[in-house]
Amino acid sequence: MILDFPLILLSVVVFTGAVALCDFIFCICKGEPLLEKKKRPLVIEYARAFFPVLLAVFLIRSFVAQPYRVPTGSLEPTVIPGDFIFVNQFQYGLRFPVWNKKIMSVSEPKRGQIALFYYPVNHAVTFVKRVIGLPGDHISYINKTLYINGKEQKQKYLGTVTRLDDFGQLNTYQKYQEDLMGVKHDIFVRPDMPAHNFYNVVVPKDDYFMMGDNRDDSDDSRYWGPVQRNDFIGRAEFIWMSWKANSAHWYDHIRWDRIGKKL
Amino acid sequence: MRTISCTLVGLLFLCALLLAAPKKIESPKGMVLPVKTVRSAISADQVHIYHQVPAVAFTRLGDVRVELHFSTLNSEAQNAVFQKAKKLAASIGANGVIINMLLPSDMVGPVLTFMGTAIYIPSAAKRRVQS
Repeated sequence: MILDFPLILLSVVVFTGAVALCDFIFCICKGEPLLEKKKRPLVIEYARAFFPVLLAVFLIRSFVAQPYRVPTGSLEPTVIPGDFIFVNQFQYGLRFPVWNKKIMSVSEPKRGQIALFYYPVNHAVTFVKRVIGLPGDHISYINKTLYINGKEQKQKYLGTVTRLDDFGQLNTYQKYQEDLMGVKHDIFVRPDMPAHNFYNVVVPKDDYFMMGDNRDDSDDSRYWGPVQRNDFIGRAEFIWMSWKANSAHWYDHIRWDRIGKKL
Repeated sequence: MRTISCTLVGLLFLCALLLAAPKKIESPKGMVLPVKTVRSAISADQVHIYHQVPAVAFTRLGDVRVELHFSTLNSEAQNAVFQKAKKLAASIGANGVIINMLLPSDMVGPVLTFMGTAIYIPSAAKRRVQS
């Protein structure tokens, strides 16, 4: 089984729920009031106290929204390591966690959206990337420019930025604004990296081609293929917190200017 | 008695949940990134894996990338990666894949990463390589 956070949370909910339910049955059989305030054995006391809270957390996290901390710079400059993003869990349909079974359809992923999904290679890991190709699209990447169904996705040069990558190396990036079929967003490309051109990759039916905005430092569909529709978790809506772990003073840890940034 | 019964019921439900939870399926995922002109698809059985660049003329048809999450790194895992690489290469008509990199990493769990170049060797030249 995949022992990830949703399964651990559901396990605790099921255990506390079963203990509390069993105790309620005892109460009914003995004619005791269900919610009487009295000293109970530790396991029962804790199960009764925590079950409603854990159930609420489980329901909200599974069907409404979840906070997600971005660990890498693959979506830079849009999202940077240490950003906490608010993920809308129902945008791509309501799904029962752990089994990932669809309960209700809401909408399909759209081009340009930043989405959270299960890493196709290992479902215990969650990835966040931008939707580039929709089912049936033809994607080409020539000299670091995207072509979707033969149409060039225009880029506007914004400047040069030097910053540390995920491995602590100082790199120089060229910052561009890409117009992805009307969705304007910033991207990074590294002039020192080869282009890795490809032509006419056809996105299969029910699959999506995902890429990071940090085009030369992103582990994305170019490496492990497209993402199946069923593997989508939710849509990244905005940054609700940004934490700079390596700052010198405690009051510099929070990047206030990034909080509330819409994605 | 009440505490033990409640705890046992809780554990019973927990075991039922863990038994019903979906099992991990480890299958390789990958991508072929073609060059501008490719060939028509062939069978994966016709694709050969080359551990070094063959000493005959060939045409590069694209890049093949495969990743596999593994629990035990063995020849079975390596074969699964090679099979996937062959299948991807065959889809663009390549009859060979040169291994550029085959490396286990632990960045996002234990993952075996394969990077290769999909090539086409004309039949006559291929016979020379095989002999």
